[in-house]
Amino acid sequence: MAAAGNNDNADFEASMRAAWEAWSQAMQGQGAAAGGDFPWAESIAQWSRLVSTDTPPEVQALGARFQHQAGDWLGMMQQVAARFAGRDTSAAEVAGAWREAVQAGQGEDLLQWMLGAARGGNALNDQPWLREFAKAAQSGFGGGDWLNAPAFGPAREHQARWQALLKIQQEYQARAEAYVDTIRSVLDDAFKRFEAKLAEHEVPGSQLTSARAMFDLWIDAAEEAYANVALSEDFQRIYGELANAQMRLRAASQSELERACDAMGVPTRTEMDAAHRRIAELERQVRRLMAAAQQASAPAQFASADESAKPSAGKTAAKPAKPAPQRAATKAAKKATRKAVKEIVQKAAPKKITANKPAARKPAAKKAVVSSKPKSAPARRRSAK
Amino acid sequence: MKGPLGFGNDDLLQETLQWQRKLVDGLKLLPGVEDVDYGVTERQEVWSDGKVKLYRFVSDHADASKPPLLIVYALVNRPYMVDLQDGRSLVQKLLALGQDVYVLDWGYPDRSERFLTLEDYLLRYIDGAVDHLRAQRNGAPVNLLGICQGGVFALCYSALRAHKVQNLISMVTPVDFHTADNMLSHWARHVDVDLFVDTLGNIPADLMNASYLMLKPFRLNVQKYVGLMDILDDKQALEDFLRMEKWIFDSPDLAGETFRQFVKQFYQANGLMNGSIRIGEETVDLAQVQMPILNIYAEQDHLVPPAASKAMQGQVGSTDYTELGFRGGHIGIYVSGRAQREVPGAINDWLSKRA
Repeated sequence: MAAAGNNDNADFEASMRAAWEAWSQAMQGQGAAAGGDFPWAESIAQWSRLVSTDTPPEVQALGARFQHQAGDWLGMMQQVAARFAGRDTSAAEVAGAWREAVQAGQGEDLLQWMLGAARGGNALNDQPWLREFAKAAQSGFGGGDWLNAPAFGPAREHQARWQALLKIQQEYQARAEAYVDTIRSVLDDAFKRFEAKLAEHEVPGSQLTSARAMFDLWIDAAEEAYANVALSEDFQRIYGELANAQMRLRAASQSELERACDAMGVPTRTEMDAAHRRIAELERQVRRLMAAAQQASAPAQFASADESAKPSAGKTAAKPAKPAPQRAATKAAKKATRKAVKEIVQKAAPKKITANKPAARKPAAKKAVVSSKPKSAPARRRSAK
Repeated sequence: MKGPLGFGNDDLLQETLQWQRKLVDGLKLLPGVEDVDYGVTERQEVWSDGKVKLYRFVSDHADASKPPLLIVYALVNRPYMVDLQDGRSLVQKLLALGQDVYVLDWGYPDRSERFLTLEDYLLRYIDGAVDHLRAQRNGAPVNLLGICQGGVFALCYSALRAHKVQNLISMVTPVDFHTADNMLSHWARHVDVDLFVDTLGNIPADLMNASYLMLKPFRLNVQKYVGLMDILDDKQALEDFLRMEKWIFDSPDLAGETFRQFVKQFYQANGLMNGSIRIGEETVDLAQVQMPILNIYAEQDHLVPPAASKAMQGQVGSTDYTELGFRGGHIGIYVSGRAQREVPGAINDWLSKRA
């Protein structure tokens, strides 16, 4: 990492010291209020830039994360701490300053991050095209009135669909705002809890001894406030409504995209899913048939082991089954399996079978499938509890 | 000074200089931190079905006369957590104690696997792996060690195929999904999971990770990274941190239909508590789980609250039920120093008494 070599380290340390000295002098000359001028966040940013050169991706990501959290959040707490360091103050005063700092600084970012996380983080990327489409559609068609205008004419179906899509988008916006309001109330409560926790440290001997301790206390307060809301019935409903509104919007958007793809002859997700569903169902049927065939044809294979191992606790492992019956059973199982697979393949392609040998093959396949379903052991083990 | 703050300007200066020294140390150290590796124990693939693979951990100490111990992990993270690194490996310790350890690796499902169901995971993959192991021992049953969601799978499987399981060990396994302190379950109640799966297909790993981070958003997204400053001068600690970050966010997408069934049956209907779980064409009856059970839970688990795990005792049919509370959290139970000292030994002792 050339950029973070010795020279850079020295530069970084020198710049940090210079910043600190300037800040200290300012503090001595202008009082505690000047503490807010210490450029801790910029120092961290500079540090992160040095880290991000020629290091593995994990380390770069670490540097970026560290810049955001240590540089922004801890730096902000340090600025607040600097305002009150070395002088009489109160829990209310400190908490009030922290509230102002958060609301002016990281508060909105935090709210948006939490909304983003509730929407699934990076997994479900926001769809700016939809927002633009919504704006254009609403302005081009007379704003909100267009949404409720009756659709008619050759494009009637399309207009009705777009109207529905935009209504879904509006609903989603409303749910997102309700969620953000809830998180905002969490922050309000967190500030109150922070003040209460600070008050517990007003007793001599229990005072906080560092900005970092203040920061950790804030985290405790915020988590408590969040847990209190997140476990409430209201939050359960608000979270569910946001998630469901988001899915409705995504489903409607996907549907429009599929229409466009279909019109251009591009295969769609729905078509792919249909094929995958058929494959999964076929594989499942084959497995069931093979299990049934094995069970029916080779009951002796593991019978002695199975019997000895059944529920009674603490029994020892079963004795090996005799080789000859085992080979015979395996052979029989393979034969039965081949038969079952053959039958299910026939069932999976009924038209072809019907066309070739209409009378004989189709009923036989049906009968075989029915008779091959699991019947003995699993059925015995079931109980209606 | 009156008030909650007991530090002056000089103290703040010293604290800042200390941070500064950590940053400078970090600059010197971080270039030497390479891509972290994980998975300390050599392993051999012994069976596979599609992307699902069964591995046997290689050991000179493993006693092949003992029933194989099959680890069944959750779908939401990668199973190398049980063998993360030297000295922090449940597998390593179990092998040293003579256990013959296997792990089922689910792989990374893609969209073609969207329609895999719980039946596929339990009665195709787990059953296939178990049958493979049994075939090596002439049909004798195996020991199952299910972890988290894998514990739920192992429990259900033990009910459905009781004769194939000699002993069942569950770790941080939820049974009662409706305990008052289960935040994930609380949130899942009003989510239209049909709409979710129909829309998304597979459930993206990032979405799941975002949900987990939202369980403790301030601690997991802010405080954790501020805490990095404490270890910027410790290469080993930094590498451990990065390794853990990799594991946390190295998550497979979830097969959509399995997610649908799991959320509806377990999270929403709390089916293990009312006997309504259906796997394919079969009903899970926990009364059939009569083999010995060791149920290990974490006392500070924010994902699977202890009460959710401890509910198992009242539901299973086993009369040989042992409970072990571990002082730690959901992740610490695999990798913490305390876990290394306590958990593998407890498992081995318990199994030895039931050999």
